[in-house]
Amino acid sequence: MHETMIAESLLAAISEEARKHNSKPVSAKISCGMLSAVNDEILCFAFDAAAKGTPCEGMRLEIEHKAKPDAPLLLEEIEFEAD
Amino acid sequence: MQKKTISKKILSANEEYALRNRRFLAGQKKLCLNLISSPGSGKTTILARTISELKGKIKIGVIEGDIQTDFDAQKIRATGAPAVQINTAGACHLSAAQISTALENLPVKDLDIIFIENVGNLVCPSAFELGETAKVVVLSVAEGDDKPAKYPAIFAKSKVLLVNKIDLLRAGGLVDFDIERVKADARKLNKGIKFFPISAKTGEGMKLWYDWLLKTIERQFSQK
Repeated sequence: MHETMIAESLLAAISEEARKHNSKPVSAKISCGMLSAVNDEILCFAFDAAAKGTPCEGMRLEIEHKAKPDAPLLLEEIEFEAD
Repeated sequence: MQKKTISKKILSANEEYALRNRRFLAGQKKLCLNLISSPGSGKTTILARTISELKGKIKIGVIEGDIQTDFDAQKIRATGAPAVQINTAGACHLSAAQISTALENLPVKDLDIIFIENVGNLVCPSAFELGETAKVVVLSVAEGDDKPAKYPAIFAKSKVLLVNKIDLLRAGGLVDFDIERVKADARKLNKGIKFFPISAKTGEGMKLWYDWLLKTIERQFSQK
């Protein structure tokens, strides 16, 4: 369940961007390598739970697994609601 | 919809602490090894024997991570070495911030090696850098020879693989364990991984592990 801690860091990073952008995030793209040991289903579940009651509630996560095993865990892109 | 490209590294809070720990340990020229394995593979027994048999040569301190109890810290203290127990209260891995605090409670200046005994788990600890010099993975023969193939991340990231409880193989018929398969599978993931078959109970094979430790310390001290 290390995904829980990843979900919290991810939520913090997205929330910070949302504040800067002053808009509600709808979805985010992240990427990682095999060594990050990320299980998509668990990460999405943990993120949903962590995001409850925040502006990120209900966000969709798209997780790309890179071929390079030691690719870092990156927050690549956030999609925001249109103003 | 508006898209914004970010490219920001996640896990940053943990990595910040890990970086701080790494700088601190490098400044003190201390070797710090993060011991990772399933529960019951013999991490504490390996440490207790290592401390006892290297007494007089090097000084070792231990940071113990467990969900509950301070059983392991007590076992380490019984050897005369300083130990700090962290209880994670449910968390399946140690994080770098916990190590920062633990390091403040160890006499780091007087030590040559700081061992971190992570929470027994082959998965989660591999994803959290603690600022250690290197990871050491322990696999006991009773767990089966398919573990490098099944849990590749930790075998790919470790500098050393200790295959423990090889005395069980000598007994014949107790466990089916193909040690060559483990070696081959681990090397497929990690070409340079050091491979030491040991028994922390009987002491078999421990000398090569000690030699590696002493050599690695020497290298650590000769670094500028």
